[in-house]
Amino acid sequence: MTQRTRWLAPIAMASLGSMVLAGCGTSQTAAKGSTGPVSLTFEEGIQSPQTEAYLQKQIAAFEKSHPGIHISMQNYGAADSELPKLESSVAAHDPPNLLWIAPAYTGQFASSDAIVEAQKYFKSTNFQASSIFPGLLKTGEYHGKVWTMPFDANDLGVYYNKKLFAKAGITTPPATWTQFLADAKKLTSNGTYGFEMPIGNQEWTVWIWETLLWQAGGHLLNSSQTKVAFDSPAGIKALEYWNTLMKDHVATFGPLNDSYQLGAFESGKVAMTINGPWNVAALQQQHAVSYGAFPLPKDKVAATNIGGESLFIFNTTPAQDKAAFLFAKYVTTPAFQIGYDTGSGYLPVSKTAQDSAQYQAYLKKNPFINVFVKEMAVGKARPPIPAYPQISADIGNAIENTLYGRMSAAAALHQASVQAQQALDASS
Amino acid sequence: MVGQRRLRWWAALFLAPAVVLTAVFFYYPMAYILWLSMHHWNGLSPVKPFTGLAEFRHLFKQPIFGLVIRNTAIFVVGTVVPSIAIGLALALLANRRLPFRSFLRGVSFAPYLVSFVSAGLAWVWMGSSGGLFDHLMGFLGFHPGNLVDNPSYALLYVIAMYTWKMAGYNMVLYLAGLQTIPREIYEAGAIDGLQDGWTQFRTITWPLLAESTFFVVIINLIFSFRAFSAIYVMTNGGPVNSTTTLVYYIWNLAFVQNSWGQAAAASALLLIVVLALTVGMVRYFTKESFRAS
Repeated sequence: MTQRTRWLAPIAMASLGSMVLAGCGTSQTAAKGSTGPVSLTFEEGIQSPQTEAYLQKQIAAFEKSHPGIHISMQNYGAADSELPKLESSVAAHDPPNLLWIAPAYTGQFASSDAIVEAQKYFKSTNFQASSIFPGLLKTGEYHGKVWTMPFDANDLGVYYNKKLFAKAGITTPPATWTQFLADAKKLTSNGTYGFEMPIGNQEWTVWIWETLLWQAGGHLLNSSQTKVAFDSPAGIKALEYWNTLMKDHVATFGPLNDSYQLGAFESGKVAMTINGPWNVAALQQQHAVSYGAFPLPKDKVAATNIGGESLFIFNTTPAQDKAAFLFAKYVTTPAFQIGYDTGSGYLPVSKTAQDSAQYQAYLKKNPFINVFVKEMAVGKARPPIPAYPQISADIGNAIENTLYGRMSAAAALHQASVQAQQALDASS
Repeated sequence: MVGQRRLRWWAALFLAPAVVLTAVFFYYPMAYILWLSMHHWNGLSPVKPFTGLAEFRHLFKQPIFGLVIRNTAIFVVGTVVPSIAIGLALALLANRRLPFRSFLRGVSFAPYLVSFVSAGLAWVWMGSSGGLFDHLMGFLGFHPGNLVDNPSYALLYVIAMYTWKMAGYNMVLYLAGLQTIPREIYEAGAIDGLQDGWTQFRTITWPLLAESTFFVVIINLIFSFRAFSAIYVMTNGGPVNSTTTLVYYIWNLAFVQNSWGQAAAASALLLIVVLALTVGMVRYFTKESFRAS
């Protein structure tokens, strides 16, 4: 090696470091005809095989009633790993036609022209938007128009261990923050905690904390969505309430960023945990814990956070876009919704489906699900704005800083709001 | 003269695949990241407005940026130094005629063969409250509880796991280096009065391992700076960002927060740091080996 070539070695080695960000997507621009039969690709991340089988059957039924449209379905696994793939498929002009994912991404995709506005098809296809719960339609709005179509819904409630409640002498589940704290104290005894605190700075923790912000009368953003508003007396009160649960030793941290897992609840180590209706099948299969659910306790008002998935229609050809919308419309019909929801534990997106005799009979048999259905009335949704992921990350850091005792709730929320405001300003 | 020119063409032809691959997969991404660090992008939008140095400014102003740099420094020093020291010690041991030599070599190298994901999950399990480590430390009258969820221990715990995995790899590299040292030198040293092991190591083994050490240090530095999957699997950068290193932060900025401009700015920073360190190492070690020879 001469002195000169020796210098090339470190450069080549160091350039390995720069490969961190280098993702590459395959570029294939298949000719997608605008006449004749239309083929659609549909990517979903449904976890339950039974639910997926039901969806497959429904797709066959849809194809029968819509000759000329063919849909091929593909499971993408976890949503976290799907997003980077999607970003590269959009960059390579080869996105799926339909995507099943949380509507929180609506703003990001809509602002980038990656998806098609759904509302523009409402009139021509005779779609009755009023049949969908208005709160749900809002989860897919961007600049006042509906861009993504509700597919299924869920929200948050409290799971509780009936045996531990009976042992602590609690006959009615707590309805307010004060009662919740008092009951959590009663439920805490050697090795058992009253409540499992979600922890980690990711979306699961933030999603739950937002319900407390709303219950205390606070807001994430101002009404014109130009200013962040969680750094408020209500925000501080909400965060301090969680801090009190930890300081009083009546709550224990769940698994870091994985607090949706039910391990501690199912083993009877925690008496209460916050979760959604989708675990119904898993809970029915275990016999260790006699479980129930009750609505999230209220402070000034009652509130829960609406979740679920929506259909995103990616910008491809006019014929494909329209065919994709027809399928999204089909999904909202009572026939589809009732079958899908009674099998999966998801909640219906339309009032017609919810009020149907068949679904009501299902609720009677499943009072657990009924708790979540009733809570939808006080459901609020995260704003599907492009900056939401950054705002959520900032709130997540504030929650961790407070609960781990690094900062006061006021200081942590103030720091987060300065960051979040910057992100909001940069995205608009 | 004509023959030489033809030879040059042939050389160019044979070099072309390597040059093209390096250009496409190394230099283009490098240049693109530098370009992207001066633009605002959400990962999807067809437009990427020019923002000058604003992305760098935003990055430096992030309240956790200082913590990220501190974590990265602790992680890199905390993994590179012990994993090389342990690797060297294992190599010296495995180079002797011991009864279970092959077994020792196999056991030491095995952790490196396990993927970071499975090893990380196993360590999360062992470090949980009531898990193996909690239990073992209980004998010493100390109950750390869950190591992964504790901001005081999480980084140390990830460092321990990473060191455990890399030590065996360094052992193999050093073992190769040890076997290139001719026996005669030790014999000559013995005649000159170098009898005890420590003097032998200091005057013969360590200087003659300089080239191995050079390679081991650089490769470990680069590996440690780039460490991602262990952190992703074990802690997700938490709790309270106590295990968020620069690479994990880059991933988080890009794929969680959709701030690709800031992610690119952080990547550019990483590139500069790694490049500077590598150049420094090359300078240092070339001087050292001159001195040795």
